[in-house]
Amino acid sequence: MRAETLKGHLDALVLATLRESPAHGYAVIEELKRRSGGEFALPEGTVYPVLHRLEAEGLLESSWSSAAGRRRRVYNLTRRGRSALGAQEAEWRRFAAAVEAVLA
Amino acid sequence: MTWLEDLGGELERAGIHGATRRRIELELADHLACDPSSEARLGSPREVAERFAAELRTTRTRRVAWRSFFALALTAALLVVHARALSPLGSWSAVAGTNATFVSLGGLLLVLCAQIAFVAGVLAIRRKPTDSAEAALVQRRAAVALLAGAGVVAGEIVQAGALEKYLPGWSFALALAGAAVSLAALCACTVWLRSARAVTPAGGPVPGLDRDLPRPLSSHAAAFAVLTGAAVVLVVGVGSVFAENSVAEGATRGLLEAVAFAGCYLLLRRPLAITLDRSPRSA
Repeated sequence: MRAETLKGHLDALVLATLRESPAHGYAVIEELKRRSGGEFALPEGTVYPVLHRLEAEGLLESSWSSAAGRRRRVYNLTRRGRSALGAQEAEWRRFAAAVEAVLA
Repeated sequence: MTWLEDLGGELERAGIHGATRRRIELELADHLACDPSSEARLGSPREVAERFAAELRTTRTRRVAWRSFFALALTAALLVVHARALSPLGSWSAVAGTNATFVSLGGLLLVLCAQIAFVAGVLAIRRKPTDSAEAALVQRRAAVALLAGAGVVAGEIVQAGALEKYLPGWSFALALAGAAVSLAALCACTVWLRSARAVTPAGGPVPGLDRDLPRPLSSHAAAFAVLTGAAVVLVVGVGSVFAENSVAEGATRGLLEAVAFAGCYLLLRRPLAITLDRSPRSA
């Protein structure tokens, strides 16, 4: 799938990958690929700036942890992020249902 | 040179320094350690740095616009402290000579700059920076608002200095303390403004005032500007008639306000993008 197609939905997709548990950037990218069956293989460098922005907007929080002697930034959904995800999910479902109805 | 070293250079070039740069480097070092073959999928260091700069540009610009607005709101609230500090003076008629001139100059600076700061501050938070040209515009608006805010503080200091010998010590100290708090808040905003500017390239053409107005006003930007000017002139003129109990004084101040409004508009219409031509996107 083209990166342009994903652009407007990337925030919701990134938030959704963090719904169950905190994760670092690489794990978020892998989870996006896994859940989409490899369809969302966007340039991996696009995800990190989005993570930073979502954190600046208060939808994510992050902290350093350590893995194999390396420093690793782990992201977690905030309460605001959870409610933003809910709102974006509902909006997407309405949109998808409408598109489906038109295409049918 | 490794991909990460290249990235460090590109981040610097894009205006991302210090702790933010270090954090990005550490996160991407961790990414490459998880999958050493992912360099190509990450994109070129320049692309990654530019994406970070674009995201930082938007968030830093929005943040500095709001912070500047709050710093100006604080400055406006502290004008009450300034007025309270000067209240022991009672009547202005006791002030004479050079001091009277400085008090008037300070007052003029204060009134003029307060209006510019209010307008530029509101305009800065009205425009959402969707691209680098609009981000540069919001930053310019915030800069003008902060500069005008500093003008307000300068007016307060000039007035307090000219009235020092007429005021009790506590009163003079209170006036200076209020000005100092305002100045500290405004200075903090200039630091945030600099960090937003660091990740913003030079601005390009942007839509005018119509983009800042809600519908249906956006279709009548010129009428809105003229009516706003007329309303301000009327408020100043009529207010002065009642405050000074003099129609002549009201007319003089109203006229001065009209000249100042028109002058400031002509001077600031391009830097603040408050031109009245309709932009294609909202036409």
